[in-house]
Amino acid sequence: MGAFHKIIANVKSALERKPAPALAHDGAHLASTPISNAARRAELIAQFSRELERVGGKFLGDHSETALKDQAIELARRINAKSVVVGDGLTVEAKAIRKALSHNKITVIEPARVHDEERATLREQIAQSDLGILEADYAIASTGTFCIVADTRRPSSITILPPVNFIYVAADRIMPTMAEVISAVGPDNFARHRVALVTGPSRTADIEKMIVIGVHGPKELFAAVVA
Amino acid sequence: MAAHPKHDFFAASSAAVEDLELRRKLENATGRHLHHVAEMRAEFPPFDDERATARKIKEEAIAHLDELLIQLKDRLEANGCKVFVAADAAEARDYIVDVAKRCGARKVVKGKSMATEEIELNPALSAAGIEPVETDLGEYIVQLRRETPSHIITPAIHLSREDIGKLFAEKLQIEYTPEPEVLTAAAREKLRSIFLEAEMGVTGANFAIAETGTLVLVENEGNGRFSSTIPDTLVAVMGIEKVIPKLADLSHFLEILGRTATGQKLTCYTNFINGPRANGDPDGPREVHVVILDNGRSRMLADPVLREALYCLRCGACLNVCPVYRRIGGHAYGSPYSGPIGAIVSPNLFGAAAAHLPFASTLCGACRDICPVKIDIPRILLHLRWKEATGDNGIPQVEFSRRVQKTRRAMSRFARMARHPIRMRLLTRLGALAAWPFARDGYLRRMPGAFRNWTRTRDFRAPRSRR
Repeated sequence: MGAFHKIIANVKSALERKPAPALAHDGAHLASTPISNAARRAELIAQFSRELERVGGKFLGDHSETALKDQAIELARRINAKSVVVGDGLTVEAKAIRKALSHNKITVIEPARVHDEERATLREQIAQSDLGILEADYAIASTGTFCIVADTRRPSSITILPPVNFIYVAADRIMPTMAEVISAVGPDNFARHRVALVTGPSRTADIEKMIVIGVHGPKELFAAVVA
Repeated sequence: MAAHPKHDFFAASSAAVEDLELRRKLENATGRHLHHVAEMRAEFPPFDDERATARKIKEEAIAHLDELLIQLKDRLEANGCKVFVAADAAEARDYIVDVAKRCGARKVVKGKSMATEEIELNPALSAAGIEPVETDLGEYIVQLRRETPSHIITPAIHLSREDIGKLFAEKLQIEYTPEPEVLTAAAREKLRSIFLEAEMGVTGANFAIAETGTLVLVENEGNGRFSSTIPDTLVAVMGIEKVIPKLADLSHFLEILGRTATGQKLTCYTNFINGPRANGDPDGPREVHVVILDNGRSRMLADPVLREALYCLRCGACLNVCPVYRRIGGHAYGSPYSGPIGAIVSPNLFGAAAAHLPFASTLCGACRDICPVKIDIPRILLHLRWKEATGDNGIPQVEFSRRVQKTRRAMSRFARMARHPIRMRLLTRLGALAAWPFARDGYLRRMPGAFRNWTRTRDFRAPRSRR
C-alpha cells in the first residue's frame, strides 16, 4: 500500500510545520447509572414518549409483559397484518408474542441464523411482512430515540423492510441523553455489531423543505415501554 | 461533477440573479430551514457548549490526523473491512468501479454522498456498464433530471414541487400532482425493488471512529440504512478529515449536526457500519470496502489558515444563510460544494477552474455565526483571495487575477491622491462635473467605458456640488 504511506507522509510533513497540541482526552465517560427511583423513571418515560410523538412516532403506553402481548395483537389486527416478523427479545421473551400472533392466524416470521442459500428467502419473507416487532436495547429520552444493536436473531432488516414497526423497550433502559446510551452500548459492541439509532418513522424534507413521513424505511412507528 | 474548466461563474451567476422563480424557491426553502434551526437551538441550552467541545475535538483530531488514520485503518481491517486509501479522484473511481465489476454488479444503489459527487463516480460506473441509482429523494430527483445536486443537504432545493410533479409525471408515468406525499410515495415504490435487487451499495460517511473502526452514517429516509445493509457488497467513501478519535466524542457532534443541518434534534437514522456480516447473519454486506480519500485535503492541511476548513461537518447551514448562495443557488458555483464552504474547498480540490470562487462572497460573516464548529469562513476566504491575487496558491494564475492586479494598481494611485486634501477635493469636483452629463432625474443609471460595471446593477444618486 504505497499510496497510503505516501499520504500519511504528506499528512505528517504538513503537520510538522507547527507543533500540534497534545491529544488530551479527559475521558469523561458519563456513568450510566441504573434508574432506580420510580419518579425519575416515570419522568423519563414521559419525556421519551413526548419526544417520540414530536417526530411522528405513536406511543402506546407502558405495559406489563402480558399487556405488551395484547398490544401487539391489537396493533396487528388494526393494520390488518397477515404476516409479522418478530425479533428475539432481550428482557422480554418474544416467544409469548409469537405464540399469541399465531393463535390469531397471523403468519409469524422468526429470524435466525441462515445459510447463504437461505438468506434471500428469509429477506423476502421479512420484506413481505406487514409489521416488524422488536425490543430495543436502549432508548434516549431527550430525543425519543431507540438504540438497536443488531444480531443474528434481531437483524437490522426488521427495522428497514416492513412498512410498520412496533418497537418496545424496558423502562430501566431509557436514559436521559445520547452520550449515556452510547457509553452503555460500549466500544466493543460498536466494533462487533451493527448499531442503529432510530428516531421516529423514516422522513424527508427534500421537496421544498416540507416534511413527509414514510420514505424508504417504515412509514409508521409504534412504541411501548415495558415496566 | 468536479468544477468544469469551461464553467463560467460570471455568466451563470448573472443568469441566476435574473431568475426570479429560482430566487423564490431558494428563499422559501432556506427560510424554512433557518427557522427550524433557530427553534432547535433556542430549546437546547447546551448548544454552545456542545459546539465548543465539538470544535475542540476536531482541532485535536486534525492535529493528529496521521496517527488517527493509521489507527482507523487498523481497526477497520480488524473488523473485516477492506481499506483503500486514494490519493486522488481517479484512484478512488477506478477502485470502486473495479470492486463493482468483480462483484458482478449491474445496479448500484447509492446513499447520499458528496464525496462520490466530488470524484464523479456516477459517470465512471455508467461508462463501465453499471447503473448507479441515487436513492436519497433529492438526489433521485436531480438524477432523473440529469442534473447535479445544487445543495449539499437539499439536492433539489432549486426545484418547486410543481417542477418535481411534472418530472415524475414524465419519467415515472404517474398522474401529475404537486403533493409531496404522493411524489414521495411514488419514489418509494419505484426504488424499493431496485434496493432489493442491487448487488452493491455505495454510501458516504459522516464520521469514522478510530477507536472502534466504525463508520457513522446520518440520514432520514432509510435509504442509507438500506444501501449499507441489504446489498451484498458495500463501498463507503470518506474524506481523510472525517476521522474522530473516540466513540465518546461522537455524541457531541450528533447533538449539533442534526440541529444545524436540518433543524432536527437527531436525524431519523444514525447507522453504524462496523464491517461485513458475521457468518450466518441474515443481513449486512458480505464485503465492506472503505475508500479513504485525500484528493487535495492534505494540501489544505499544510496551510495553517486553510486547515480549519477541514473541521467542516458538511451540514450545509452556511449555504442557507449566505446572501450570495440565496441569490444564485448552487449550480452557479460549478462545483459539487457550493456556498461559503464550497468557495473554500472547491479551489483546493479542483484547482484553477474554481480559483475565482473565494471572491463570490460579501464576507458578511453569517456563515461563521451559524457554523456548528465555528469555522472562521470569512477569514479563510480573505486568505484565499490573497493567495490568488499574489499567485501564492500554487495553481496557475488565471485571467481573473490579472484583473485583481489591475485593480490593485488603480487603488494605489487613488491612495496617493487621497492623501492630499486639496487634490482630493479637486478630484471630487472634477468627478462630479464629469458625471453631470450622464445624470437623468438626479440619478446616474448608465455610465460608459470603464465605469459601466459600476452602474450595471445599481443606480447612483448624481453628485451635487456643495458650496
